[in-house]
Amino acid sequence: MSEHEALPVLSTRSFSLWYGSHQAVIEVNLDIAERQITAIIGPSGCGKSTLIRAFNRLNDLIPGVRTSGEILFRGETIYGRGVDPVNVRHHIGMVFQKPNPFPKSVFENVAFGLRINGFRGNLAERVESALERAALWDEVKDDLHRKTGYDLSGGQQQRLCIARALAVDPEVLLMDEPCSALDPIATAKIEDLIRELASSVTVAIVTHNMQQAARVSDFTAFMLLGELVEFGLTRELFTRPKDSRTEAYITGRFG
Amino acid sequence: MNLIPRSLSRASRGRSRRERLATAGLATAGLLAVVLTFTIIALFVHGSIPFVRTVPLREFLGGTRWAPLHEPASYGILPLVGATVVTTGIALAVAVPLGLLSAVFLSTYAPSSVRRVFKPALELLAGIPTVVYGFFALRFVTPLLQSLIPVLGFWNGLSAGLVMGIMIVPYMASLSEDVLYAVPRSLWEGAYALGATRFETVIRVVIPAALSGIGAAFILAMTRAVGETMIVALAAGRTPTWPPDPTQPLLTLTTAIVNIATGDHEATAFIWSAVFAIGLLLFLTTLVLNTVSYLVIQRFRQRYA
Amino acid sequence: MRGRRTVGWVFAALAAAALGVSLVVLIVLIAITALQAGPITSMRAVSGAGISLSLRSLDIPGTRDSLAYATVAQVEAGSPAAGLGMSRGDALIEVGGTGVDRPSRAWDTVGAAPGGREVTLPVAWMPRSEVTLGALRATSVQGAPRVVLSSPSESAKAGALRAGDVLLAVGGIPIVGTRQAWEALVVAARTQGTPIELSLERDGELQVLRWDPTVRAELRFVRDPLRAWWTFLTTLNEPRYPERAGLLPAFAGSVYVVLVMGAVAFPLGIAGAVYLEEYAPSNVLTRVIEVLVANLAGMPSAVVGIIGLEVFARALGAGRSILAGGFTLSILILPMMIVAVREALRAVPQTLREAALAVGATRWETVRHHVLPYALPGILTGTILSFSRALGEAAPLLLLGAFLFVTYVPQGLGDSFTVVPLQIFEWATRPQDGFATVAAAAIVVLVALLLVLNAVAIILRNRFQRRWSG
Repeated sequence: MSEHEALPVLSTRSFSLWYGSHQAVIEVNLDIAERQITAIIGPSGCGKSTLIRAFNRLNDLIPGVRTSGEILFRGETIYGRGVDPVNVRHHIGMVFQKPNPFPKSVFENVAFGLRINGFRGNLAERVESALERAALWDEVKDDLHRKTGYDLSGGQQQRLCIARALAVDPEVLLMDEPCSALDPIATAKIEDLIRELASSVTVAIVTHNMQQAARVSDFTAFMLLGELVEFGLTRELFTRPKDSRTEAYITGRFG
Repeated sequence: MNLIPRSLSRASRGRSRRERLATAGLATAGLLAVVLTFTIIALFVHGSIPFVRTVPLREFLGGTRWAPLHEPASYGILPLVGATVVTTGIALAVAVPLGLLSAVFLSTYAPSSVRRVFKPALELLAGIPTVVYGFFALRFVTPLLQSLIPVLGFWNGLSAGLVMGIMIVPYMASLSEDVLYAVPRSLWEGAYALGATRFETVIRVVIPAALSGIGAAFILAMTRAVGETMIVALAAGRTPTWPPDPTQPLLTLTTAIVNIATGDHEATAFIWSAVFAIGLLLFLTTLVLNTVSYLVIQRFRQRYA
Repeated sequence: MRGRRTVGWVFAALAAAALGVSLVVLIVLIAITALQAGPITSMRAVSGAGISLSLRSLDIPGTRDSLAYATVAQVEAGSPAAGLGMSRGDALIEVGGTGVDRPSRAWDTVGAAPGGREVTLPVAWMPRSEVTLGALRATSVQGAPRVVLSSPSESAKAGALRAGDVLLAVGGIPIVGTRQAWEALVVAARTQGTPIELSLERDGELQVLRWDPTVRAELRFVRDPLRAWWTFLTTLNEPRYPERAGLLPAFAGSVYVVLVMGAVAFPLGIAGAVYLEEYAPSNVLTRVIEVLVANLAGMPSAVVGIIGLEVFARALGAGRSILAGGFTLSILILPMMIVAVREALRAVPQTLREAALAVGATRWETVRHHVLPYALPGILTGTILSFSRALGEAAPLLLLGAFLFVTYVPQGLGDSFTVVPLQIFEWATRPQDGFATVAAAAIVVLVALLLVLNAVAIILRNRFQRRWSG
């Protein structure tokens, strides 16, 4: 099956975002296909992190943020009136730049999302499966309750954050430069993990590391100064960029 | 099994109700400050009405005789204002140079190990209750000063003011130290790069850069001194005099309130309205001073954030 | 260049000196106050022997002089002093060979006497007038007062006084009244020693007698600082005698008032801070609230006192009760709490909030499960600092009309009360001997308590600052 035919789970329609008077995202139109990995690349300050944070309304926390245009999740607007951002975040989970485990036990880190959602099933089983999916289970199973998130290594912490996000069964997993704080070995593990996850969940990943985008993603979007310059299949974008700015960036002439 | 609600707009009813309840409760607590402030203003304005109706404003603000319990009563507030100005002035004359220099030392000269010890020490000392300082003024500073200045009264504004100054030093030092410490390293480096010595950098660059913040600290120290009650109640006496003489007993605005409030007056007595009038004056003064210093500090923080 | 450097060094030295001087002055302040509390041990030694003393003075007729003496205002039943036959109304004349002109002389002498924890000293006292002299009658002849011994006591008889004697002078002090006759004996015994020269008119003739009406004995005093301080802390207050002053009622009052205050200010302070820091939209109203909170935090405590009096004591009818006191203090402390808690919340990394929100937590769940637990050490630090500030506050409660001396431990929220700082204020304003000492002792207790609380708070803060930022 061709990747082109995959359905968009998330799509933006002329989406713009302002921090006060500064426009950080300008009229972006982008479709993120189901069970595919979409990478968003670009030099720092290009608006890629802002855009990905807009997908689960985390920018709501920053005072003075305004948006226009739409972001649709399975055809339903997520910025509409009456939309509860808490529900948006159930469907669309997120993993951050720096690992940010809660200062609690490994188990509680993963169980938190389930508990607040009133999960009534077998908690231990769900925690285990989330940790399995995040390839962390074998490393932590012996001291699930004794070790806190902070006792793990940086790479383990990030995988714990992924497990935490997976535990509530999101349909989309947003990753904001998830490897920027990690060493190469930990990075490689996370990249493998991302590829595996794509069989069950849609992934959007922001990275400033082009090699990473090329390695893990199916689609790549290139952003510059708040605008979406080019979007397409990763192998095409990196080998035959249509826009001269994309070419300049991927050949290392700026950024 | 899927625990995610189907639609984006519907959260579980229990959770969203809890969320609304929490928001409402927290907002109420947040609004309490507004309610409290307006209650206070309303209370004081309402309480002062009989006073304002009876005593002409010119007599209140321009009169030099405070004798609310005499017959005929006289309500000139100048002796109280004068006494407050005298004690506050003496206190600031002690606290500002000592506090500011201490702050400069801690923030720019002291090695970080010294700073780590002395900063908390200052904070500890700032926590000593004012009644302790009052006792110290009455039992130690006044006798000591009397051996130097024979005319000094048993109660006097001088020793109350001096001790009040000592009390404010840690406060002034701590506030200004915060401000000086917040001056960005880049300003230091800029001055050093031009060949300035440390002293020249401190005097010409760092202090001017922190000046607004230091001004705010000064104002806060001033409101502390104006509102201070126990030290003056113990050491400055209860005699309204005009013109105020720091070597003699004085009655400040705060002690005038204490005097009336601790006297045995009927709750409906006219004299209470004088308490509210003085209280209103005190409240408005500190309101203006605090607001100014708050806004100045906010701007300072934003500039160097 | 050399000149520029010198100016710099002078300035640095000046700045260092300023800090040094400030700290030294403050430490001297505490030290001097602590030293002033020293005599509490000897005061308790005297009261432990059973005697409470009061200062009296005798005006010398025809002069402007007056001489002070110490009467025994109370003798505790079953005490060593009672065993020696001392009783209320006697006058203490000598302790350990030193004349007692005022209560503090007795305490200081006992304190300074060489020896260990226990010391036995000779004491001399003048039994009360009825025992020493008997019944006296005041008459007047041509406008001049005459004091006649109408019925001599056993002691007076032993001293060769007879019924009908007219007392003219005692130790050169002219006798003008019945009470004054005995006081003259007391003062003369101390200033001139015994026997005392007595001029009297007997059967129309002038006679001079020499008489020693004093009683002498040995009294044992126990000088135990630990016991003295412990008793001071744990006994009810006896408002008239500083040697029997106790801090218990004030201490209990402080604890109750701070508990009530805490019950109000702790939840409201946290809620207000959480609202402002986590919920409030950034708009004009929020800015106004922030300015008002800063203002309320800097409001003179006298103003807070008036509010307490008007709103809680009068309008809500709580009177001068613990409830009214706690509410009044909570007005004072609430803005400080809000400022402190906001500071703590601001130190919570934003990533923690994002992490919780990203798994679909609501704002309240994020705050409750993650932000508050993380900020807890900071919140506790701020709470301790605000509460210790409240513990030292006297002015608002003074205005509220809290009682200045309370001799019982309050039993309920509706009871009247006093607090330690107010008790210090009351003792500090008393002119009598010894109250300065107990005021200083109470200051030592209060300052020690506050320093411990503040030190705990500061250590807590530094610890957690290091732990989380590491």
